[in-house]
Amino acid sequence: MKPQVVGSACFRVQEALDESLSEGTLTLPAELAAHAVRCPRCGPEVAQTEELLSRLRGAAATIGLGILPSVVDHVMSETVAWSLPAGIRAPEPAMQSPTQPRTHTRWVLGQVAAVAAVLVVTTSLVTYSMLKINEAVSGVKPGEVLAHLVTPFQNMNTAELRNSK
Amino acid sequence: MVGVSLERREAFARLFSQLSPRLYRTALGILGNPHDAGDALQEAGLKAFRYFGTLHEEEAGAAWLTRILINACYDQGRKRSRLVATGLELEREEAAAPEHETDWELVQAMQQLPEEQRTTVTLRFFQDLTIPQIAHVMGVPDGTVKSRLHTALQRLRTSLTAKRREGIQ
Repeated sequence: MKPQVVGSACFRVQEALDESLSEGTLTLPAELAAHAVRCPRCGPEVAQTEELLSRLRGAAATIGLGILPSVVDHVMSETVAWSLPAGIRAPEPAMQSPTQPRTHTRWVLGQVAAVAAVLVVTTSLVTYSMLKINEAVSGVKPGEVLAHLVTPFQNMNTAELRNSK
Repeated sequence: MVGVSLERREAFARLFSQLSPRLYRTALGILGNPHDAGDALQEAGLKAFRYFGTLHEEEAGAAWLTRILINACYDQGRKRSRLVATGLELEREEAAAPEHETDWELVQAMQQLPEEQRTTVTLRFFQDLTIPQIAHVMGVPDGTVKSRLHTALQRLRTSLTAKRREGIQ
C-alpha cells in the first residue's frame, strides 16, 4: 500500500478517524465521506469505526434491568436497618395502667408539693424570727404575742357558741 | 451509622433510585456479567449510604456515586479473578441473563481490555459522559482519558473485526 501524502484525502480521513477514537464520535465532512466510499483503504476503516461506535452507543439501551429492583430494594432495606442503633427496634407506644397517673402529671404534682413545703418552712422561720426580734426590742415573749393575736378569735368563737345555745 | 435523619435517608434513596439504572449498566460494562454487576452495585449502594454524610452538594452525587461504583467493580473483579474457574460460570450467567438482545459479543470483547480502558469506554458510552466528566470521575487529565479511549476503541475495533472474519471463515 502506498504511504499517505500529507494533506491528501486519505491522510485527512485518518486524522478524522484518530480524532473519532479519542472522542468517541465520528463526523466526516461530505467530501471525505465521499472519498471513503470509493477508497479501498479508508472505506473499510471508516465502516468498522462507524459500526463499533454505533454498537457501543446502542449497547447500554439493550442491557436488561431485571436484576435491578431486587438490588435497590436490598440497599434500601439495609439503610433503614442502619438508621437505628444496633439491637433496637423502632419505638412502640408504651402501655399505661389506667390506675397510675401519667408521668408528666406526677412530675407536676411533685413540683407543687415541693414548692408548698418550702413556703411553709420559710413562713415559719420568718414568723419565729420576727417574734424573737419583738421580744428583744419590747420584752414581750412570743407566747404572749400569740395569745394576744389569738384571744379575739377565741372570744368570737365563745360568743358564737353562746348564741347558738 | 446511628441516628441518620429521615431527610438524609430520603435524599439518599432518591439519588440512588434515580441513578441505579445507569450505575448498573456501568457495572455491567466493567464486569461483563449481571451477577457481578448486581453485587458491585449493592456494595456501592451500601458504601455510599455509609459515607453519605460526606457528600455536601447533592449535584455532585452522580460523579461521587459513580466513583464509588467503579471502586466496587474493581474489588468485585479482583474477587472474581481469585476464584478458580469451574466451567459452570458461563452456564450460570446465561441462565440468569434472559436479556438475549444485549450485545454480549461487544460486552465480552470489552472484558479483554485493561481495567482503566474498559472503565473509560463504559463511562463514555454506557453513561454518555463527556471527556471532561470522565476525567473528573476518574481523577485524571482530559488527555489521559482521550488516550485511553483511543487505545481501547482501536483494540475493540481490531478484536471485533477479527471475530467477524473468523465467523465468516
